[in-house]
Amino acid sequence: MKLKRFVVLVTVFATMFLGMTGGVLAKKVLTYGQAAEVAGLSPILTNDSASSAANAQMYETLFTRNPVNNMIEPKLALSYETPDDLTWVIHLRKGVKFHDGTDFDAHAVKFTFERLLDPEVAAPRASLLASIASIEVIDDFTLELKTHDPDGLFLANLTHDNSAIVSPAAVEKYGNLMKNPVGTGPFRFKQMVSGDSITMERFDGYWGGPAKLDEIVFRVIPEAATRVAMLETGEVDFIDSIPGEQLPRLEANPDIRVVKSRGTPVRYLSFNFEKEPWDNLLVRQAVAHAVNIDDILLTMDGLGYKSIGVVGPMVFGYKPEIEELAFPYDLEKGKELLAEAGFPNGFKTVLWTTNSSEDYVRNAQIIQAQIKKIGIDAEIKILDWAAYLDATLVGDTDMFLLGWSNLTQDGGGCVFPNLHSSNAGSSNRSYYKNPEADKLIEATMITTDQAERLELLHAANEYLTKDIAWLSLWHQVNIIAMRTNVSGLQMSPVADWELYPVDIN
Amino acid sequence: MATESLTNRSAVGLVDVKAQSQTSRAWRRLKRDKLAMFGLAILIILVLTAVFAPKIAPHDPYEQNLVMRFKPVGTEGYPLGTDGFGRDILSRLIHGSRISLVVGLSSVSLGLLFGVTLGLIAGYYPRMDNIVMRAVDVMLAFPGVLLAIAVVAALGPGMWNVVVAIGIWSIPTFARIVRGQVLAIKDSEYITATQALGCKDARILFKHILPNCLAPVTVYATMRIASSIMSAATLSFLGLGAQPPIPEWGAMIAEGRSYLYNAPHIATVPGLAIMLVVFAFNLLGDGLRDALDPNLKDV
Repeated sequence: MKLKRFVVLVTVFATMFLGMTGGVLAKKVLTYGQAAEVAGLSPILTNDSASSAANAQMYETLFTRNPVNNMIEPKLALSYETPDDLTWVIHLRKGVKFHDGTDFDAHAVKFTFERLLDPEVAAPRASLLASIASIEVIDDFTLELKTHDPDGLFLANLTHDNSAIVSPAAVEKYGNLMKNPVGTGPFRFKQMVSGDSITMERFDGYWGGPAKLDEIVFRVIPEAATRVAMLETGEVDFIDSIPGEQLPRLEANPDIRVVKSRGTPVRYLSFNFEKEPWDNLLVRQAVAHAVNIDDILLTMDGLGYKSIGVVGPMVFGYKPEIEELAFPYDLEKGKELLAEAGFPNGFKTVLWTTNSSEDYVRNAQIIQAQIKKIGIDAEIKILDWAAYLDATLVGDTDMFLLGWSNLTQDGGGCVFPNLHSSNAGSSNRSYYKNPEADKLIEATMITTDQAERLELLHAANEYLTKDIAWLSLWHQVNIIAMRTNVSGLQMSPVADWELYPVDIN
Repeated sequence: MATESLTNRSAVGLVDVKAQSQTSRAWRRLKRDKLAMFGLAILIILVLTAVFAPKIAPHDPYEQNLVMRFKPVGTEGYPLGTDGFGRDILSRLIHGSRISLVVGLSSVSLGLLFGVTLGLIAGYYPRMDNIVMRAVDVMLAFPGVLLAIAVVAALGPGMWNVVVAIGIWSIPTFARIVRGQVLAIKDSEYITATQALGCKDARILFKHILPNCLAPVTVYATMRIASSIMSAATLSFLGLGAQPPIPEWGAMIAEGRSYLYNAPHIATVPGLAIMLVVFAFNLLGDGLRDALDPNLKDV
């Protein structure tokens, strides 16, 4: 009996003691509720946003976009020079270590870029560096890169998550980094439970000083309503990919802070230029006057904002003057234009959309009702995402809805793939082929002077917007929601974020 | 099983009774069944609603009024509230009743047409029996919704393809019921008599056998309309049936699903409508089963 009492006493004291030390040593752990599971943890071999979100905490790029003013700044690089249009000399940061203890230097950059470009590796975003002709190591911290042609998008591509620098020693050791990520970032890999979570811990040897958080956990929670509920109960500390209809619920909760910011993704109404009557500018103008964008925005629950340009406000190449080209909502004018085009009684057509997200179907329903008022009778056709991508690729469509994320945040990365004739049938899904537009787009690609590029991109934007190469419906408002004890979390216009400056109380 | 034994007796008992009196006696029995009459009343209202939809609907079911979104039940001018596009839910419900009725009736008619024909053939001609009934077995082996989804996947989404899908899915059960009836009836003395008189097969089948199969078929068809309406709503909910902006009830639920937290009425109102109609058909079906049972004598 006595012995039993003694054991109980010891246990109680031990628990109290452990509890106290636990209190003192409490780890700062931040949990993120992620919508999709990562494909892998190698920046070279992945190209999905879930992987990028995790990799952005463990790897770093040579350059980065300032999340506030959007300008390109050096990160692992210190500075760069362009002695001529084809040569880029990049000076690298010294004293940077990979998580495996090896040094970051020019050889690591050369190794990474060559691996990204290696046809045998078949990296999904090899195109980021496609313009590179040669990579030369001048000394341990200086590189000279030469491009085939002048490449105005070169720096923007070096800010992309998929051109992050990996540890050559780790690649040699593991073959690839899909399960063994080793970069220079502020967090290093701890463990991954497939289908459940990824845990990363603070890397104390980080060149910018150690992060404030001890550990970060990415938990996979596919269902949006579940993510919201888990944020409310505090099981996760922050989430993104929040559907508009869940917003009021989050905004009403005093324990949760919702942060919105203007983003780069654009949603647009496009036309199949190989099918009549969409090749007729008058018909496109009629549609533009019949579509009331304010009404569409009403149903977006604050997740969209208005801008008429093909190149949106958070994308390089945008100038506010573009808004003067807006097509005011005017049904009479729409009817007149249709009559002028030879359709006084309107016509029947098909409006294609996808059920990959609900707003695609909702946008289509509103447009269908709006253009009916000028006599365009559109049947809505809804396909799943994979079938939709096929249908738009081969040009089965009539009118259709699509979006573009603008991950490089450069207008050239938007207009060239989507609206240059050379990409018709691949990334140019509307088969828009216009020699004049081609010329304007090409000019933006081969100039490396950024001030000049701004003007050229604006000129292209102006031409494409006037010609209604597509009708921009809205640009995305990015949104994250976090517990109020999370601080320092900042989102970039492409909806990326870094956990390095983040703290939790 | 119950239906087979039931109709065995009916076949024997009804030989010398005219169809007219059979119907009127059934109707008299049905009238006494309060629940069945309640179901019938709901269905009559439903049919009237569907027929006069454009006259009674207070608004155009397609008209969007985006400043009037998510108005709750009881809003002035919008008794059942508005949906995510500011469309009047009552008007959409009223117009949607047409779709539900048409889909229910036409898919069951399709199932009846082919199912009854196959059942008659299988029951009357022993050589065809094995072939037809094995095909029916194969169809029955498919889970219903899966079969319908497969048909819609092949034909593409749309309301008429849903009718075909659900109709096909009704065929095997109708075929089985009718075959069982035919097997029981065809050896009765009056059939042997008509055969002896040199009647043609078609005349025997349609004039003398078919009318005596109708009681269980009617009961099953009534119940089947209810499940067809449900299946159509299911397929529309999955995005395979009616395409937006058509106010099909299942599609309306699907649209309301994402607003379940903020505006629950958008999904619940059409959900209740489906429930009510299915309930009514089932009540009527139950009543018919009792009324058409020839063992019940009038008191």
